[in-house]
Amino acid sequence: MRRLTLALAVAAAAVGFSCGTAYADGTVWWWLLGSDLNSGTIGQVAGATNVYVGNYYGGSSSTDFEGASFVREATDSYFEFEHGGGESSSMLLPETSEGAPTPMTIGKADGQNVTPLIVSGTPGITGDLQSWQLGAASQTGIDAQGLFRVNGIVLKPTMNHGEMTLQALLPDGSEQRLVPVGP
Amino acid sequence: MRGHWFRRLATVGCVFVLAGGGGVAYAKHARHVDAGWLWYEGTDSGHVGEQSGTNTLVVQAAGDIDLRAYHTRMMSDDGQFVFAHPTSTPTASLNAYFLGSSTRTPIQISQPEPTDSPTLQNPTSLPTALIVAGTAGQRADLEQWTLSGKTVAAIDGKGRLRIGNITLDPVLVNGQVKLYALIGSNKQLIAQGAKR
Repeated sequence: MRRLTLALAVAAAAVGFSCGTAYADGTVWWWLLGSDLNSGTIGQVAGATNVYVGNYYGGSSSTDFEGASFVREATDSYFEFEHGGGESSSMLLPETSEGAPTPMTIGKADGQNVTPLIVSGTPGITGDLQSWQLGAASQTGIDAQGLFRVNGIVLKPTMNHGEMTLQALLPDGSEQRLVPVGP
Repeated sequence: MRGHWFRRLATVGCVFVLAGGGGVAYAKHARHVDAGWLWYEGTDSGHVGEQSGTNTLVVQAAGDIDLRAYHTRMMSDDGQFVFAHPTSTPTASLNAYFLGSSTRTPIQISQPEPTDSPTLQNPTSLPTALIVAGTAGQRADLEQWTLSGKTVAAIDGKGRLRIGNITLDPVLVNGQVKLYALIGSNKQLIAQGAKR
């Protein structure tokens, strides 16, 4: 009878993974749905106000959200995209459900007078604010002064004594004043 | 003897109570578990679960999915965040709104956060805020700015700025900068570096 009692208790505990007691590593969950913290689960660690969705320990699993519209809200207005240390950036990849790549549209023509996109650099930044890459190379960018660079040449409009001039800054650090050509 | 039975019954009962929702949920959605779900919670029109053998958590709704938190953090070990959409729409769209309203606001990329790493105080480690990546040799624009669907400016597939239908193409020829304007197949030199 003791064996039966023990077996029933163990079976109940196994089935009741989602109830929210201690997991194998000692993490205590207030509630947890799922089968394995190494794949797809959703839950809340005891004492925390964060809710985890997906793979708690990281790895090769995925999380798919599918709805008519995917709305994410953050009271503090921050939406972070964190990636593994082996990657140099977070990649936002729009595609059809069949996997064909498509453009990403930011903003829409709904009659509202709003700037759709702001790209913010940290004060003191020495690299580009934004760059455009073709393959691994980037010849085009907006640098930390907000100047446009293409083909390695930075175009710099300046005002000198009431006269507008267009300067070209070359990769070797030299400057050329661009003089209009033509009739 | 009766006391032993009571204790055993109480032990099993307590464990079942602690085990709680999981077991009940599994039984409630047995047909989904039979249909290949490792676990499943919800209804046909809104559910969360994991299909056997996929290692993929599925959160699905016939209507919208609303996620709300004080601070929303998406994590991806391979760095990829995919926005899949039906073929009936040409692009995926990102929009920002005030909470609970239809008033749009800008989307801001890389606004420094109070919790950012102290290493970001070092200017040499500050990242480029936004990289728009294309494939070498592509002909399509890398980025477009549009007003009511009309493209007013773009970065073309060669990384050049196009304003209206005029493409600016500065090139370095024998140490002298030559700024060309391209309209269709016409190419015109509009400015060049002054000789010193």
